[in-house]
Amino acid sequence: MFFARPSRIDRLARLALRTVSLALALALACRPAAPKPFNPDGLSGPQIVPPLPKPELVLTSTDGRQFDLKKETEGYVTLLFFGYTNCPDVCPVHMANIAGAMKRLGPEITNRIKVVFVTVDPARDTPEVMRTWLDHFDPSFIGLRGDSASIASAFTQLRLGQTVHEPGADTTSYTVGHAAIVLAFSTDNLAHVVYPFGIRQADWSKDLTLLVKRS
Amino acid sequence: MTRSRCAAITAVLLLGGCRKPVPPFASVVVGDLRIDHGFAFEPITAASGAAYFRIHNNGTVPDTVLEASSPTARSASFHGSSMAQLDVLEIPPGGEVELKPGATHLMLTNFGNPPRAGDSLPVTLKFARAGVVTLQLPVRRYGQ
Repeated sequence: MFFARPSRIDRLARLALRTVSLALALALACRPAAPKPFNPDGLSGPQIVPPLPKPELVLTSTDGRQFDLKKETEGYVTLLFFGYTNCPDVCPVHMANIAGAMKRLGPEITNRIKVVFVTVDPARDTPEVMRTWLDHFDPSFIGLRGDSASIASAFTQLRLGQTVHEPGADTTSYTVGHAAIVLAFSTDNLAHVVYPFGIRQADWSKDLTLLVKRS
Repeated sequence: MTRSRCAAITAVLLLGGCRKPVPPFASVVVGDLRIDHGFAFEPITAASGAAYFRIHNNGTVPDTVLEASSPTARSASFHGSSMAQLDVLEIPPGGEVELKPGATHLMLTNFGNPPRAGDSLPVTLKFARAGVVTLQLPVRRYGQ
């Protein structure tokens, strides 16, 4: 009986110590790991120095949902491209090359990539038109639409030239001049590299793998 | 030859036989001009498509494309890489103009019957000096 008290205190102290150690271990384990700086060396796309932050952009996806770019793509390698479906040259070539490259890669890579197409021609690119067009390349491609002010703001944030509407033969046949690059954001939410027109599918495959593995 | 290898080769031949052969584009000569490297992309929608070719001018004076058309498309116009419409496509003497993806292209819009990969897309060019020529451009898919 006499020794019961110190022994209980002893037990309590040991329990307290264990609890504190466990809490400390958990706290350390749960603390977000220090972000590993992304290494863009060896990628085919030219590097952007300093890297570009992912733009603040809230648009509407082809299924009618509000789409906050930063929230929805958090943790994914994200390819961002601005274009329009009536574009016969640069836009479908970029999309077809990315889709072709993705087909060569396994799900362990492609499941960690989001491809986001933002229309610069919301007047003609209805959600249905965009969905049909994107499905032609890859049904997983995300199509976003918004007002011209949001798009202009994204272009300013990304330091891209603004879009230019070029008149065609009649009022409905205009074309849209726009940046022809694909921005590649790694999981640090920064674009360290961009992909100008002319990147081959083999280079896309190699780079997408590196972008995922280094993230 | 083993039976399985024979079956495999037969399968390949059959599959190959089912695909429509894509006729390669042979160069075309009209007046002092020679046109080669011609092809078109299979339009994704009937709204728009693009065609490409290279024109050499072996003459001593410039020539100009006055008009381009295709019976399956409502309009055809030349655009630069910025998508601005080009009013004049001039081929300098002893020089060439090359249309290629990401650069100058012939934009075709509103297809009545969009061509499919493996088809030939007829495109007629009217030149100021060389006259009129119709090209049969082999159609292929984007990304191929």
